[in-house]
Amino acid sequence: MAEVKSSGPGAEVTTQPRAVAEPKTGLQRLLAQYGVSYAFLLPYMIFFFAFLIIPVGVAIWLSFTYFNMLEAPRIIGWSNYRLLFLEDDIFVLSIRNTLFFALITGPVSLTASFLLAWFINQIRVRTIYALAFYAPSLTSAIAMAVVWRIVFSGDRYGYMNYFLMRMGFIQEPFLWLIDQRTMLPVIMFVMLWMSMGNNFLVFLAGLQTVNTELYEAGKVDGIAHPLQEMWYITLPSMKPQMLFGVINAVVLMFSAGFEISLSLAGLPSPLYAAHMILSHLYDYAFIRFEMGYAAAIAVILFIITFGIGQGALRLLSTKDE
Amino acid sequence: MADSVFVIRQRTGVLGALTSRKWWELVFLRIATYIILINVCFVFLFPVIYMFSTSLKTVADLADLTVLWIPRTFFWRNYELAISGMLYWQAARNSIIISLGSGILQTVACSFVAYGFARIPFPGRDILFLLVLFTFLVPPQTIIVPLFILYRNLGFMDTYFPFLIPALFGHGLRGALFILVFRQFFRNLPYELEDAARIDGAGPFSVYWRIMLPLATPAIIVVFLFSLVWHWNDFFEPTIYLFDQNNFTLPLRLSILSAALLQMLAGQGAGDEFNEAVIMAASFLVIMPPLIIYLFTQRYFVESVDRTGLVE
Repeated sequence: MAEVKSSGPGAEVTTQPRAVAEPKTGLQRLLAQYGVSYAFLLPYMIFFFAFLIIPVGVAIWLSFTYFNMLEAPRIIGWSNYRLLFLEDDIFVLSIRNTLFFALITGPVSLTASFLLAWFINQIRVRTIYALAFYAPSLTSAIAMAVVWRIVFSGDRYGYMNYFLMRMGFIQEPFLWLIDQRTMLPVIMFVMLWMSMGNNFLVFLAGLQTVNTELYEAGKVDGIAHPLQEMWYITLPSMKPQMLFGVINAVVLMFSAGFEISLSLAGLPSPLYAAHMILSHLYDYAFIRFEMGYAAAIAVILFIITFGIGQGALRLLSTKDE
Repeated sequence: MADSVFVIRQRTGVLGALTSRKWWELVFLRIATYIILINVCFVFLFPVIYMFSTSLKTVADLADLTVLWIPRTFFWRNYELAISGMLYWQAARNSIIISLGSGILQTVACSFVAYGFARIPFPGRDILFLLVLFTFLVPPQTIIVPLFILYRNLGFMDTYFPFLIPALFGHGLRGALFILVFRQFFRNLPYELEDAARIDGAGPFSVYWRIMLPLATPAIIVVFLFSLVWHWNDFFEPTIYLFDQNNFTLPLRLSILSAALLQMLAGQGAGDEFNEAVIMAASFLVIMPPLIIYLFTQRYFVESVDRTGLVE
């Protein structure tokens, strides 16, 4: 056994505490024993506090001030929040739009991509489908907007109008991206198109890791139908992938949803029918430069996403995490 | 190997349950399945194909409703216009710096941090890992105002630092997700490897760098590609941190393309050359690089997602 000394004192650090000559304080012992472990996490943690915890704190503080980037912030108490909920009808509308958007698109996207993955997993030629279904997720929302604008164009040459008129569903061309009833559904459709690929790929991978013995055991316990099998065995085994999917969906709903809304309906959208919380935030922060007010919007957004994320974690986390 | 997997699937899957049916029913079901799947594929790919086909059309082809998919002549001039109108090479260079730089830094940093979480026990690990999950739940948009002020005070406006610095520290776009992927992967590797290396005198850092990281190739591929593509397509953060048009990334350039083209062509008295086909060409140029990368790495990619068993 060649003990190579040159590799430094870190070699045995995780397993045995160094021989201690004099009694040390708790912190010193902790550092001596686990210093390397903390070193691995140090880069992350430095940034975590400097660029995440502090900004969250600052955002909360700013939300109680009036701040226009030129003068120093002035504390004005709860008045931003009072304005938001009592006076700002557009904000209330944007919350309604965002929740409607996220609560329908998220579950539909997850369910559809799971079913698709489950389906594809049964057949043999999978690669080509994996390729086709994932391609949309690689595209940029801004770039694809050009196509969607033509598909949902308001004149009779728009694909949707052309198709529906030929089939006789509608007589007159419909203004998909201007009518307030259809603007949000169109954005949701585009979102579904873009978001399914990621989850599809993850679910497809997850399906391969499901322990096949469970299926055998299920059969002994009287599971007969493939759909029962999916519900009682496949789905519970896929909880981790579900968690990944849900959290990814939450993040996507808020960022990509805003981008699609911005590129298809504009900012502000006609009658604010496609106004998202993020549109409102962007409007106040980077067009009107009312940073205090924007921070209040951010805090509300944070509470909403945190709530959804926490719910997802509690619902789907395995004992391990 | 492949056969045995198929046998299991046949016994347990939908098609397996149908073996008691008549053979022609099975054939019919098979055909129906494939027809449905091909249709679904078409729905998914339609916008991309449509974009490419339109980008090659002349003005005459655009107006002609009989020209559906294949233009009469391939009109490459649209691409020339798009490239000059977008300052494509400059914008592509900016995009490449941001996405490649962030991708590499994020991959290294996240694997580094994840190794600490996965293999080295220490007090407070679970609490710290909960904090990592916490960053998951904070969408970057919610802290954009303080970050904007912070970066401005640091003099980071109009530089690539707001993208590269977070990546360097394992944050950036969905950094927590990548840490989770790596942690999962490292946890499933056998401990004997590390022990052997340690007996040979390697310290934790060289175990990480020389033993664990090379083994994590599947995870590296997944994380790097995800990171690359997400940074490439990112629109929100560049709109906030970049003001000078010379620093614009491709999606930003695309958003101001119409105005730029009108201005450019007005001087030449050729305003009618500007049309939706040019915009399509430009958009296709933006989405093409990730698609090409995916086309070539797709095999490794699907395999890697398989093998990392993401967040298991």
